[in-house]
Parts: sequence; structure tokens; C-alpha cells
Amino acid sequence: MRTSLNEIKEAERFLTNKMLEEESLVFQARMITDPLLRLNVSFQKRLMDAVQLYHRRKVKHNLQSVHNELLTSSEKSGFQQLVHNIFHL
Amino acid sequence: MEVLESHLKARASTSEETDYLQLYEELFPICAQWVRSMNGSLNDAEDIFQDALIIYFEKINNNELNVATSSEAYILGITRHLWIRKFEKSKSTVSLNALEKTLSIPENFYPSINTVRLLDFLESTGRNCLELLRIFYFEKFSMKELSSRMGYRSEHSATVQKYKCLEKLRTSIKQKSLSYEDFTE
Repeated sequence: MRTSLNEIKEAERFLTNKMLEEESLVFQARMITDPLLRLNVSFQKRLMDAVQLYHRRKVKHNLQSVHNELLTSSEKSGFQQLVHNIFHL
Repeated sequence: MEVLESHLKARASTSEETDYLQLYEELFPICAQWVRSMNGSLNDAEDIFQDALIIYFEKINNNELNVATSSEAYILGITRHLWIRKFEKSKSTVSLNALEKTLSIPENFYPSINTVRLLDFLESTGRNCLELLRIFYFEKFSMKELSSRMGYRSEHSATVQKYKCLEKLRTSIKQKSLSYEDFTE
């Protein structure tokens, strides 16, 4: 594997808390002395946050479908009655 | 990547969806009742209950849920926290029990505008990689499962593809940040 991919792999282990404590301390020390590494890790962190947001939006979308199914399916009239009563619809 | 899409569709209709539906049917009315008692609407209940489930599924995936805590207690507890956060009510108006006081909403749950913009950008340029990384990190597939489901020849080639995706998206974030300063904090 190329060097850059190895660096990405290390950053991934760091960001997902897969490193042992000692290893993580060494990695953090390297980030202090190597500004390029620090920058790359920060971009990778932002990427992970964006992937997580993408995932949460997907799950939310699925849950909205579940909600609509429960409120419209003829097999779920008990659920619908319950919700109507709660909100006096 | 088309192979990936079809596998995902197949997977979505299996056990996971049944779990969603059962939990939803059982717990939504309880949550809605509470939201109603706080003068909230059906839409409020829908929104915060779904967010509570998202947080709950992440906890389960990461094996972070205390075994002594029932799903019901956890989900309803998080619902109360989400309510407090959404309506900025002071905590004193919502009473939290001892367990609920120990719960919290994940730190990055409300995304920064930079993360939202970054995701828009990545969706327009690297959706396939985004999907691969999402499945790997958040659906918690092992590399072995991922490679067989997605039709990679070996675990090794799936792993290399994952790192290439990380590299590709990381590089495009870097270029974009350096040229437009769009996503700089």
C-alpha cells in the first residue's frame, strides 16, 4: 500500500479510537510536530462527520417512511386510533 | 457500485426494518403522550422520537448501551433531552429521573453549517464513496461481508477501495478548502 494510504489508515485508527493509549499519544505527538499530518487528520475528521450526517439523514428518511406506513396502513388502525386520541385529531 | 445499491435495497427490507417498525409501533404512542403533555404537536413528537431512535441505534451499534437500561427507558429519556434542546426549555420544567440525568445527546448530533455544506459538496462529487464509507462505518459491516456483498474479488480489494475512497474525498475536501475556504472552521 502506498505511503499516503498508510497515513490515512493510521488517521482512521486514531479517529475511530482503535489505537492503544500509547500509540495514540505517539500519534498526537507526531501531529504536533508535523503540520501537514495535522491538517490531513483534521480533513479526515471532517469527512467522518459528513459521512455520519449522511448516515443519520438516511436513517431519518427510513423512519419517516415507517411513520407514514403506520399512519396509513389499514392493518394499523389501532395505532392510528391511539395517535388520534392523544392529539385529539 | 450499482451492485452495492441493489444489495442495500435488499438489506433494508429485511430484519432491520422489522425492528424499526416494531419499536416504532410500541414506543411512539408513549413518546407522543408525553410530548402532548408538554403541549407539543404530532409533528414535534414525530421529529424528536425519530431523532431519539437514531441515537439509540447508534448506541446499540457501538455496544455502548448499558445492559441494565431498557430500550424504552433509553429512548424516552433521550426524547426528553431532545425536547429540552429543541425548545430551549430550562431543565427545571422537565423532570428527569436518575437514569435520564446520566443520558446525553451525542456531541456532534446537531451538525455545524460547515458539515452541512461539506456534505452537499460530497454528495455532488463523490456519492459512491460516501455510500461505501457510510456502510462500512455506520452499518458496521465487516470488510469480509462488505466485499462479498459488493462483489469485490477479495477482502483485500474491498479494503483498498475503502482507503482509496477516504483518500479521494479527503483530497477533494482539501482542495476545496484551500481554494474557497468554504469549510474552514
